[in-house]
Amino acid sequence: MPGKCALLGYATVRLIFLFMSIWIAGTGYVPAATNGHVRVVSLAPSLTEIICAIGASDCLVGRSSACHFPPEVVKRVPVAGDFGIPVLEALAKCAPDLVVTVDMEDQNAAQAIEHLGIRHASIPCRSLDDIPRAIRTVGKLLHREEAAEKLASEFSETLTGFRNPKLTTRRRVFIEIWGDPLMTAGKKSFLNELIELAGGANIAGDVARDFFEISSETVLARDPEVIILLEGTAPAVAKRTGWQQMTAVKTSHICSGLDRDLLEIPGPRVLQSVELLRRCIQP
Amino acid sequence: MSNSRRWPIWPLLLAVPVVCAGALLAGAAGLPDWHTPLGRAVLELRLHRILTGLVVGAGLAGAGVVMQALLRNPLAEPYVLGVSSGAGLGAALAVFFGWSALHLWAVPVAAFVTGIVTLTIVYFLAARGGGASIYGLLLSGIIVSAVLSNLLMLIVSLAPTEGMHSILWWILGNLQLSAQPLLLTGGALVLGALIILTMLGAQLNALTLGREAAHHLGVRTGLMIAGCLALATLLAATAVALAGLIGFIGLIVPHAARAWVGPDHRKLPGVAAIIGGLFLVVCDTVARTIVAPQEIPIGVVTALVGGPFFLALLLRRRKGGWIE
Repeated sequence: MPGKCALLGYATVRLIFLFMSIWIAGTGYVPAATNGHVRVVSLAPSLTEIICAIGASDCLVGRSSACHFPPEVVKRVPVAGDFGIPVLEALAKCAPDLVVTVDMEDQNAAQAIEHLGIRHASIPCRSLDDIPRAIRTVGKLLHREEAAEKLASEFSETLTGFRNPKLTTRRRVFIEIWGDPLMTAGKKSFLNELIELAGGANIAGDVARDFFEISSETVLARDPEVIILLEGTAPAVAKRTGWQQMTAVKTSHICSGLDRDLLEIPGPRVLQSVELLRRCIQP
Repeated sequence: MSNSRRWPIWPLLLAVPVVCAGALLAGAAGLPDWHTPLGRAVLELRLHRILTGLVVGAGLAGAGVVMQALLRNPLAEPYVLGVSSGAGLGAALAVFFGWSALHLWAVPVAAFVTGIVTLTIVYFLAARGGGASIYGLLLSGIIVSAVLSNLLMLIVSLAPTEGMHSILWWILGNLQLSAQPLLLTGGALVLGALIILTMLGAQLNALTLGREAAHHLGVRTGLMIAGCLALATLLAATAVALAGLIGFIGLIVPHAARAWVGPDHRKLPGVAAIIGGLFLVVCDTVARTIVAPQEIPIGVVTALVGGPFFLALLLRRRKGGWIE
């Protein structure tokens, strides 16, 4: 059935697009020789946040449709594509010197951008440790090294601070990205790190993946004490077959309605979510 | 063709409890402890999946038998007349307009209704006053299916990314998430439709000889075609509503059933339903255990397991021909 195949391909591509904060393309970059004002387009929410957080929002001339923060900047900056997917004409209209992405969905797009005479930098934002590095890289590219260094070291300090908990017991946590199919975060996702920083133990933390489909019975067998929902509501989860026997459901430790922007964007604000998660996880 | 070998039905019936027991004992969580409530919950979960697999597999295989007989085409399958794209569109609309968040049944019911509406449209386009011809049905089915698939694409490209995964779920198929009352309703519909089809078996046999021949044998062909199409659609739409679009079963299982008991439609719907149910349960067990605790989409397994099986069947039976 050709229609189904095409649709499947398309939908798969769009799903990958959801997990875009993940891959790394090792495209090298060359800092601008001139010391002038750099016009930059960011095609990732995390990078847009970084650019604004180091006080370079005046450099930002284009963004992805997925960038929503900070609102006052996003309002005036035109859209130049989706998350990791440039719309070349809209991009050219922004007349940037530089395009930053965490990863390009279509590697040909990177070439096409360079064909337009625009530089392209691919900056990984995969783990929490990547974030200070990304901040410094963006700082260098936009000639805001000082502000970037300050933000990066602040971030690293907070991170180190969080990493010294004197916890004796960790509660078992199941984090549900969405319910159909049941998606969770594995060892390679920064969400796993966030859960650990908040004093929990991710029940899927032994799987060497970032985001993956987990079976309902695995969740049940590993009996989480806390469930964190990024989508959906607690009553719906409690109604699932067999889940009434789960400790988290029995004790109604199901957290929903968290600020997803904080949790899902591996940018400078991501550590604020540790506090939110702590409130969910710790008794 | 009477020279090909036939097997009795009892080994299939015997295989049902054996396969189900095997599937019940295998899983990501290993062998659960029956004495703890949690262990019982794990078993309950597996049982639910096995029952869903049986119902969905039976529905798809039964629908495949009818479609292949009515359209007299070995490549026909439950989705060929647009049930899948119609149901997919309905599911996507339910997600797109946010009905799926309002009620658990919204997506399956929307899929079921649009699947049936689609086939009704296809039928009346093909009939245009008179009785629908086979070619008319196939042609209008393909056209309506193409239009609806592209409407679905339009929704997918317009939808916010948050809603995307629900639609993707429909396209890949999944046995994990059907509610219990839904499964009971679906099971009753599938069972009912299969019983009626078995009762109509003799007339279906006449129809496979061709419309005119069937007419001369005293079959009310127009009524029969419309009725059987409605039943096949009911089967396919129920399966899709329960588990999304699972491919391959509706195509290969009818062939396997025909190899088992021969081309007699008094036996075929039932045998195909048993084989289809067993096949889907086995595939689902593979899908949930092979890379546990991760799951792989069931549609991938049905195609990977079914493909070689289909080829083996083809090589074995090449001399006898496909359609007898």
